Amino acid sequence: MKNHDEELKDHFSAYVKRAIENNTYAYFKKKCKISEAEAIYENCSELAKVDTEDILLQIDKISENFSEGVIEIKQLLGQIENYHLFIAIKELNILQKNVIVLRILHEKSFGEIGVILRIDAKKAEYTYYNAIAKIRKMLGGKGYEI
Amino acid sequence: MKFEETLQRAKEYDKKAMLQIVEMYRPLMIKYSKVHEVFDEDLYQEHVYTMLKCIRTFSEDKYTKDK
Repeated sequence: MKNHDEELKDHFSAYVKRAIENNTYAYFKKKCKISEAEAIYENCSELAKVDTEDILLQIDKISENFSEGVIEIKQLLGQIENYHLFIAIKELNILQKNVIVLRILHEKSFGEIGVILRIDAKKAEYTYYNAIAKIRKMLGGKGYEI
Repeated sequence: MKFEETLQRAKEYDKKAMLQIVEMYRPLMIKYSKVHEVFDEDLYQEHVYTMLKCIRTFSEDKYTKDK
């Protein structure tokens, strides 16, 4: 029969082994996330090598299809250099685009945005943060900024 | 020296006792630091850190209570 000291050592060994196994799992999970983020970044870098004129032409073409409201969406799009971000904004609905333009380009408060777009200030806030979350998701963000 | 005594001293930040326990579990940490038979230094460091945390967090009472 084992004495108290041996039993304690066995318990401690099991405790340490479990902690190290969990730590190994966490380490590889973290490493995978970093690799994924780097892969997305590399894809963006490869895209940058594509002929710039072609992208500009494509951007112009897409811009033509944007809704024409009271707000200058083209002005915002003109400032976007990242092609992926441009595509992500293109995917947003009209209200989300309008809120983003007013918030980022015109630096309006959510109250002012609500008045301009005739919606509740809280709805403007929700729309803005939903749009940001949607863009981040489309850019492949999982807690990592790219 | 008994293991119980060593562990207790390590809990009280006795460097010699801490080193003794780390040395005791070095083979285990090395085993879990190998990725496709290649030793990963960063992972090993993480394991040493975890090991030191284990010394602090291991509760002796928890295991001897049922006895």
